[in-house]
Order: sequence, then C-alpha cells, then structure tokens
Amino acid sequence: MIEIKDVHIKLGDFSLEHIDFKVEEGMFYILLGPTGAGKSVILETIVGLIEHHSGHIFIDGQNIENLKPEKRNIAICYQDYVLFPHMTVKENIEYGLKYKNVNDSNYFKELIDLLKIRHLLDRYPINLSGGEKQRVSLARALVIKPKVLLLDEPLSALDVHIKDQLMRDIKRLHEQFGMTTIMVTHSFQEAYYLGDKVSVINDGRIVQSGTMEEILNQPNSDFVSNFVGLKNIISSDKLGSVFNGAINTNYVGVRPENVKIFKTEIEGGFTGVLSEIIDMGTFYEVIIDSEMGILVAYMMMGEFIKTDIEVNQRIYFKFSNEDILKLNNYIV
Amino acid sequence: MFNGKMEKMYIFSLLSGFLILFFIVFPIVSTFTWTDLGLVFQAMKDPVVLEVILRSVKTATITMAIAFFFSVPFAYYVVRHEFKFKNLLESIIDIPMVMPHTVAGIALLTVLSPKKDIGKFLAGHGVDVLGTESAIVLAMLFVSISLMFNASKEAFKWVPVRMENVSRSLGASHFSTFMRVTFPLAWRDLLSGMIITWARAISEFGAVIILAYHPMIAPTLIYERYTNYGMNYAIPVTVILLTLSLLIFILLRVVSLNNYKRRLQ
Repeated sequence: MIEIKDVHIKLGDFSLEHIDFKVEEGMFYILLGPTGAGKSVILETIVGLIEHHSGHIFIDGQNIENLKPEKRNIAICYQDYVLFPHMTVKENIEYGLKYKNVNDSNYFKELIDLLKIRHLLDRYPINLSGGEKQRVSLARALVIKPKVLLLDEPLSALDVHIKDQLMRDIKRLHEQFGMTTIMVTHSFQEAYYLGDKVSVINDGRIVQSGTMEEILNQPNSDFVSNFVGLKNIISSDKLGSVFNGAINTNYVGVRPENVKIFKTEIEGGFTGVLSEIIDMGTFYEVIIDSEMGILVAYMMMGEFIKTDIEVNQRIYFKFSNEDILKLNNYIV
Repeated sequence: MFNGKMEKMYIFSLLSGFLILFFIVFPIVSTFTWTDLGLVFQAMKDPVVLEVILRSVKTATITMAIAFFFSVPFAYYVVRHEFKFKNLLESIIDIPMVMPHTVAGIALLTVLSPKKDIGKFLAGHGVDVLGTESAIVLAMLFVSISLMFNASKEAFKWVPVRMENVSRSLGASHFSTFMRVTFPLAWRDLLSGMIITWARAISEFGAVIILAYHPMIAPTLIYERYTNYGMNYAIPVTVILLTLSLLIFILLRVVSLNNYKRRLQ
C-alpha cells in the first residue's frame, strides 16, 4: 500500500498543494487531469526525483521520504519510453536486475510473452515502433517486481489502434500480476477502462477522488463534470414541475447522449433554440439554448438525418427520470 | 517562376561556398607545396624541432587532461541544475573565447608575476611558473577550457534526464547511472570536446609567448624562424604542425560520425 499524505511541492512558480490519496495493495490508481495540472510531478515526487516541501509518503507504513530513488523500489515508465539507446531490448529489460534480488526466469519469460516482445530481444530501440518501445519499457519496469509501478501517460504518444491494444495488455498485466499501479493520464476513457480509483487533478490540486463510478456519476464541480463528459449541469429549480418531488439536490446532471431531440412538441418535454450543430464525424453535437441554460445533445448520424433539424430552429427535447444524475456534492 | 528564383539564390549560395572553400583550402595546399618534402623530413630529424613538437604535444595533452578533469563534473552539474546566475556563470566561462590571446597572456601575467600575490607566494615557495612548461599549460588552459566545458555541456544536455530517472528508479545509484547510461551516451561528444580542446591548445601562440617564450612550443619556433630566417625555414615546421592538426581533425570527424544520437528516436 502507498499513502501520500498532505504533500506540498513547489517548483518555481508552480505548486502542488494538499496532495492526499491512498493506493491499496494491488490497486490500479489513476491521476486524471489536463496537461500542466501537475500529475507527472506527483509521480516524480513519489519516485524521489523531486523533493516535496511538506507532507509524507508511506509505503506499507514505512516513511520513504529519506530514501534515495534507487532504494524506494518504485519503477516509473514515461510517455516517451526512454529506453537506453545503446543497449539491446534484452539489455534494457535486464538493466535493473543487477540491483535487485530478483532471479525468476519464469517470470521473465512470462512477462516478455505477455507483452509479446520475445522476437525483439536482440534489437536496438531505434528499430522498434512506438508501441513496441512502450512494451519494452513496461517489461523493464516490471521485471524488477517493484512495490509500486508508476505510469506517466504511457499511451499518449501512440496511434489509436496501438493505444487500444496496449491498454488491453496493461489491464491483462495488472490482472495477472496484481502490481500496485499509479497511472497519470488526461484521458477519461483510459482512466475508466483501467482504473479502480481516481483522483482528478487541476492546477496543482486534487479536486475530487473516488471510484470511477463516483467520479462519473457524482462529479463535484464544473471542471470534473466536463472532464467526465457530463456536459449538462442543470439547476434543479429550472427543471419545472415535470420532475418535482423526485429531485432533492440543488443540481442535476444529464449526459448529452441521453438528451433526445424532437422537431415537434412532445409531452413532458422542454423547448429551446438550436444554436449550433457540430459534425463530430461519427455523430453530431447539438447545442441548445434553453431556459435551463445552454445544453448539449449527441445525435447519431441516422437519427440526425431522420429528425431533419437546422440551426436557429425551435426544437423540443426531453430526458427521462432515470437519466437524471442527482449531484449531491456539486459546488458551482 | 518560384523555382527559377530559388535557383538564382542557390547560384549565389554555391558561389559563396566555393569562395569559402577556396579561402580555406588554398593556403593549406599552398603551405604543403611551398617546400619540398625532403626539407620537412630533415626538419623532423632536427633535435630542436623534435623537442619543440614533443613539448607542444605534451603540454597540449596535459592541458586537455586538466580541462577534462575539471570541466566534465562541473558541466554535468550545470546541465542538471537550475540556479541563480547560471547564465552569468556560463558567460564568464566563455570570456576567454572572446579575449585577444595576447590579452589573455597579459591577464595571466598580472596574476603570476613574482611582484603580485600569487606569483610572490609561488616564488616564495621556490615555484617558478613563468618561463616553464607549467606557464605554457596555464596559457593553453586559459584559452581552451571554455571549449571543453561547452562540449561537455552539450554532451550531457543530449542525454535526457528522464533516462537517468528511469535508471535510478530501477535501482542504479547516481554514480552507477552516470557510468552505465550517461557516460556511454555522452563519451563521443566528450571525446570530440577533448580533441577540440587539444587542437586549440596546441595552436596557441599569443598567450603562451607572454608567459613563456622559452621553453619553446611549435608556434613559437615557427614565429622565431620566420622572423629571424624567413619563410623557407619556417615552412618545414609549419608543415609538421599542420599535418598533426589535420590528423587530429580527421580523427575528430571519424569519432563524431557514428554516435548514438541517431539511435535516440
């Protein structure tokens, strides 16, 4: 188990404050946030590469602040792989074994087979694709059996189809070996697929922590709701009589995919003016100016063509009671 | 039309290139063709010439070793840390590169003169610096150490700090990381820096003659033979020194051709 307790880090003008989270043994923990939020700094602080100014870091109850990076037994994988270019893949993977008391050839074989890199062992990093490099980087980190594995945006530099494949492989690795992992990402999809728990970080602070479901269904701020794709936050008093009685929170959220658009008036529905239509390739993002504020709806291509709507047109929309997320902790 | 314009520009570029090449190559070729090879071989057997060339090589090599010993650790620190006045410090180290060499010699003389504190202290302890090989090394070091320092900085800048981070997270100490990751990736650039430093040192004349006209080094001997006896006596020593410099230059190019930069992608 790794515990970060009220850590403060100052780097020039940028600072991270009140960083506080706990990762149980074998858990896949996500630090989610936009670029520049300070996520990577947290990882480098955990490894011991950046000093923190206050707070504590514990691994299995032991305070590790005074340990040098090489003594912490925490491995880190970066977005840009940073393989040693003067060593073959095999030499890269075996690099840390010299310093660790790990001599498990079965584990080594299992690892390289799981990561599908056996055929690459004699190559140099320059001859590998991005996906292959990241697999080697993962193998190099995992082969020393670290207490904690840190992944700094490991999928960000990869093409979409390679990213999906590697994401599945990371999940499989985690299921197979159960290593305690902290991953930094700006992608909610990656976070949702891989993570058990998540801390959302913005501008040097953790703005919300919880399980993936909690973050997805109970965002506590505009920032988090936007990050998890809950684009419609509505003040409960604007919902009108339709849902009265059922709502006991100040704000509710409705996912854009749950807002249904109609050309003609419907019972129990709302109305608004269609202010913008954005072609997203596989679907349309429709912006509605309504009494509830600006709302967003997603329409699949077929549905969009069938409904036949255009900008500045008055349209009607509705969402069902089940689609309304009552936001208990939402603060504007 | 666009292509036509570009071609005109390139004509001037190529003409400029040709003039630059001519400006550099012609005097070199002319030096080799001025005298016959027999005189050069004869000069190589002259004990004075031999002694002077050997002294040049020896003092330049010592200079290079000292520059390496002090520049590499400091450059590594500077590249890996941000601190106040870092730019100022780097600029100070660059100063000898913009100083006229005789000025550098005079500046060193103001320190080493037996009338001044350090010179007086050394003289008091029986250490005579002026007019010795130590003075030659000091003059060479003053004008060349910035080259070694800057080359070391470039060498270490190129090794990503994240690579060292990964190494340490895998269990390697800072020293072990330096030896297994940083140095193997930087050594070619460091070697290039050493060769440039050596070449700069062996070619130094202005600063050296202020501190030590004697014992002579090759440039001093060339100067003396030219002023006292004329071109025909200066050229054989010149050819030897020039050949030595060109050999070093070729070595530098070969060393820097194959490096790991191409593997870092």
